[in-house]
Amino acid sequence: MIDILGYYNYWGFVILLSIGLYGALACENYFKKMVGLSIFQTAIFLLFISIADVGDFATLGLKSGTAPIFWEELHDYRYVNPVPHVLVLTGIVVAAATLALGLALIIRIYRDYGTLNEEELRWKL
Amino acid sequence: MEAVIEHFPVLAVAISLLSSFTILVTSIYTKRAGYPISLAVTFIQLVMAVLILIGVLTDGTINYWLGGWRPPWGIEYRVDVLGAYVLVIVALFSFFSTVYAKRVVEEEIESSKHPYFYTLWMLLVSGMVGVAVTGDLFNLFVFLEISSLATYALIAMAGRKALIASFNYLVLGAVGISFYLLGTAFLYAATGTLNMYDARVLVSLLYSSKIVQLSFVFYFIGLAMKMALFPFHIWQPNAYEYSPSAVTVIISTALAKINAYALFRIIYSVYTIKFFQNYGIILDATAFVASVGIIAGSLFAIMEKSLKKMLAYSSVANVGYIVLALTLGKWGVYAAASHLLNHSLMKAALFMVAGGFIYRLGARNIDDLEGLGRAMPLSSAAFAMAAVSMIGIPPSAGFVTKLFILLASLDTGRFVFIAVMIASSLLSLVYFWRVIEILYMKGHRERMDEIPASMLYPALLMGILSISAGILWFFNVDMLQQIALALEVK
Repeated sequence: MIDILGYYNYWGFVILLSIGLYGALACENYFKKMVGLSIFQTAIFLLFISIADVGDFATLGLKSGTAPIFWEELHDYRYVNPVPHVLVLTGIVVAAATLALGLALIIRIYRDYGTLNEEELRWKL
Repeated sequence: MEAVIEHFPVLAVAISLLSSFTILVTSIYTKRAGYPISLAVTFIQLVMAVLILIGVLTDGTINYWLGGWRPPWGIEYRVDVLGAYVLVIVALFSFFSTVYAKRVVEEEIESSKHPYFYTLWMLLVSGMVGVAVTGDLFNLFVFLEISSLATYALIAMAGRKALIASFNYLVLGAVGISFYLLGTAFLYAATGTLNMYDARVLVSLLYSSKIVQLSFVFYFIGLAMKMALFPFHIWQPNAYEYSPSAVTVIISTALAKINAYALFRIIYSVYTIKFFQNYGIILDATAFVASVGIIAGSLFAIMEKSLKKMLAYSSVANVGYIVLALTLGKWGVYAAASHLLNHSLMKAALFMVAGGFIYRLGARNIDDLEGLGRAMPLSSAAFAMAAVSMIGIPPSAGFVTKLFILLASLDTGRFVFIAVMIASSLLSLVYFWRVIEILYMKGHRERMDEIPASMLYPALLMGILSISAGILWFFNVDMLQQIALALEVK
């Protein structure tokens, strides 16, 4: 039981990923689609952050990883892999750009058609 | 000269990225600078790409370490024969799409928005060039995303219906790219590297790892969504139909090929063919999805009334060809690599003419084209040549691909794909013949003006090349062999 709960961040990733994918593909409303997409992308960032912290710390008697700064007294500590954090930073920028573009399109669509419902808009195509 | 060529991969990305911002800045002073700058930059890129290809063919792979950081820590640009060849495809079709763009953009886009159009256009080009040269999985993600975001905005510039098409593409495209990122996360969790050639070595020890297997599935789903493989193709017909004509040409040729190339790269440079030999089920599933896509795409194309949508469904079928070929060993690699160029040539000519008909007559439906064969002989000839090539009559470009797939099926003993290929050829005969029949044998129109020269000559060139490419490939099998050799496919 503890084993399963111990991976809570990975469970969070799986749940967010499912909610996000459902929202992006199944929701009828365009705005909700964008929200779903955002949640989907955030879930992937959560995964990246989780895999950055490697090692079984509880069994080693260590608290957790620290920031990757070289510090003589801390050489027993494991440090957290910085690369995934950098990737997430880039990913957030990309996700923000996607969200901004999507919302801009939504504003234009609403102005032109007066609705954001997928079914109604499909008939306009 | 050699020393200069080493810097060309990064320069090719840099000049288009810089030109994109230059166009935006110059728009304060003049609204007319966008086209000449784009034309000049894409031409320089074409020259660079050809020089890179010649350099790679004679001296071998170019490795460029960004900032001098040694891989796998730094980002590496690595251009092997396949990369250089795809770079030439991207540069070639970017250049001719830019030539083609001038008149249609003047017609379809308000003049105050021209600088923004060309800013996004060059952003799209730099994203595609970046994908072709990079040797880093995450860098590839960033470049894919740059080109995709530029594409969504470019499609939306046509306004009204294009907004909906663009939004649907954005949602599916962003989910696809996110799946790619998810695959990268899983691969990184298993190997701890992002460099493709480092990952290739590390993955070879981890073929039985569930994480590695799952990461490939994510990569495949993500890129299949991006390149509109059959069950994920729903965004594509509307995006091609409603986007500005020039944008349709560039995304159906260069961008579609770049996404297929990314999958090519990941299958052969990261996971390698040994991974699939160990897990035949993945290979069979991929080939099955691709075969269903080939048949389904062709059937949808037969039922379609609109010309551009019909061509879009034909693209769905042709992407299926490329993915199918990727699963078929050495001859399959030949087929996939040659089809990257062949399909671009044919689709460029077809979409250029289709856009030209809309420009002159506003004719979107196939039935509106009656009698144009006599009214606009040259434009119709360009269309007919490419259509004949799509059907696969020798010695056209389409025939070369089909010949390679035939040889690949015989070589690997998977004869069912011969049946798939023949069925799809017959179906493409049905839907392309229908257009040719309406163009040449039905109705009568007086002679009218051809589509403008800047649109007609690129289309004619592509049409003639797609007919004669079979003979050109005959002299260039050597390059295909080098591609297979660089990917260690035997």
